Amino acid sequence: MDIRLTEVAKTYGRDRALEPVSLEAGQGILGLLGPNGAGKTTLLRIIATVIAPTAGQVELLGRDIASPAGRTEIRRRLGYVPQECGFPTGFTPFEYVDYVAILKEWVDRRPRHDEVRRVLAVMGLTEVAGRRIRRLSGGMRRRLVIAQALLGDPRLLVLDEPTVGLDPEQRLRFRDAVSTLADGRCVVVSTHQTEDVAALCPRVVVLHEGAIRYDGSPSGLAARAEGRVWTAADRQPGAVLAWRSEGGGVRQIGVPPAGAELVRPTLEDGYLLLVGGAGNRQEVPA
Amino acid sequence: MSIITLGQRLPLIGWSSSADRLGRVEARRMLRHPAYWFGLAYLAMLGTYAVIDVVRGKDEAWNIAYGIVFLGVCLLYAPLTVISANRVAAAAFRRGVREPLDAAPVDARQRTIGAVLGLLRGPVLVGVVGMALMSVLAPLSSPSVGDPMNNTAARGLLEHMQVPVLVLGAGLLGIALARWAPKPGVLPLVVLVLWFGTSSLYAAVDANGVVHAPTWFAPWVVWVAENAGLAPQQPLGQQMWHLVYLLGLSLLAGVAALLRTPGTRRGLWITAAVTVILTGLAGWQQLG
Repeated sequence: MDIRLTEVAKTYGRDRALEPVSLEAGQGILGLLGPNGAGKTTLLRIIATVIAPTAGQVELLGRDIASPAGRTEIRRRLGYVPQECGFPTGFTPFEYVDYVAILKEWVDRRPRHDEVRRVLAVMGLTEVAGRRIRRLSGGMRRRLVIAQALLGDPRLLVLDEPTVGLDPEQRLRFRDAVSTLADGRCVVVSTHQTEDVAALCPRVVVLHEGAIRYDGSPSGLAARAEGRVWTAADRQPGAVLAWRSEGGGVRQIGVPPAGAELVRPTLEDGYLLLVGGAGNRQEVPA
Repeated sequence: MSIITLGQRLPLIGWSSSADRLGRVEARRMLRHPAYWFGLAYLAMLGTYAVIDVVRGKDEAWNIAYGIVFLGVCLLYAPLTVISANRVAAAAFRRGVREPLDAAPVDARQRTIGAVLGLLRGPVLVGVVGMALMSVLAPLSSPSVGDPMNNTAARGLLEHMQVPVLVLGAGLLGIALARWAPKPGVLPLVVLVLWFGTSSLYAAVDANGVVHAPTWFAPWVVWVAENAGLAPQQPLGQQMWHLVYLLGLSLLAGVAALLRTPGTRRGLWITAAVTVILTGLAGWQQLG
């Protein structure tokens, strides 16, 4: 297993950000879904060795993050894209990725520069490699953060909201890059975008209020909403969530009335039903 | 598959070949810091006035050259090094910037060591060049007749050696501040306190160039009198102890910076304790 979390919890003062969580993951892409404040970023920061858990054991790539030597060894094979990332003042994309490459122990200049050029090319940033970062668009900056995470073909990739700020084409490019990268490595992607999860991840974990609410396949999550999604002309009393869909009717999730026109649920339906409201969560069949 | 050259770590302080490589990058960043442009502009203006004075026969060329180098390194380059070292060291530690960097194998301790190595390879080297220039120019210049406070020619090597140590101490102070108080406003506040604190200590150099006790405790060269002249050469023993005193203060700033980073601290605390004792001893001995 590349990731093995055993009863991992995190508190900030009196606030409990993460309930005791146990999770195992091997090669492949693991999608992490959850609303804001669910504990996704806390969990990913622990997996990225940036913060230590308050309780529990974290083993990554066969090493315990509690030991300094183990942590260093993990970081040598880790790529991390944080949710929010600033840049040192005055850097160009090339200089920034080169700086990170040095921190990733690429000491020799020539192979380091070759690698920097490679990851910039993967993220389509070759043209702007010499431009000041402050002059780049938000999407380009996001791609730059992803580029630094790709340095050295990491065995474990931790991506926190990687597609935020990317336009549709860039998102598709990103999906392409990540699905290519998934061969032989473990990728953990946290996102609000259920389409990204549906397109990329054979396994999805839903985190809500610091605890894992679902761990399984995207189709399994969608199936949880089987018999709970229907369309009608107007919003009906049993609906937890409702919105106007393409056909002109109102797509609704919740407890359908008798004779409702049920439709095939999507991953998003399953996810929304799961986290849509505390009172309704209990109504979801196991 | 890419080639990764792994650094050899010295486990006690965390030095590695990556920190060494980082030092080269940080040296370039420090040397190119825009703060120095302000100093250069000011120096260019002074140089122009000085050349005019030489052409008009008001002063000797060597004296002027010495004065420009002295002013440039001690009164401009060293204070500006607090800023450049601080900004460079703080850049990768700012909130938001440091998150992806914290997931890299070269940890905060090594990054701090990288900044110190950058300081040694960059600004301190400029200080050494300044020291060499002053050592060459001093014998060529001559004391101004009737001006006991302009003893350029009387400066010795131990006094000149204080020049790069000033730059070192300034840079290490900047790095320590970047680690302990990276908040906006702290750096200018500390620089102002240091500037005015040092100025008040300099009041203890009298009009005849006699250096009184408080001045020796200034974290600066003691041979600059309040009226901007150069005091007579101090006794060799006192010069040496003042050099040790300045080195001790610099080392303490460096240790303070490293103490803020995760890793083993025992060796650092021992170094700090020994340095405090040595600096205190030197501080007392420098009084003569």
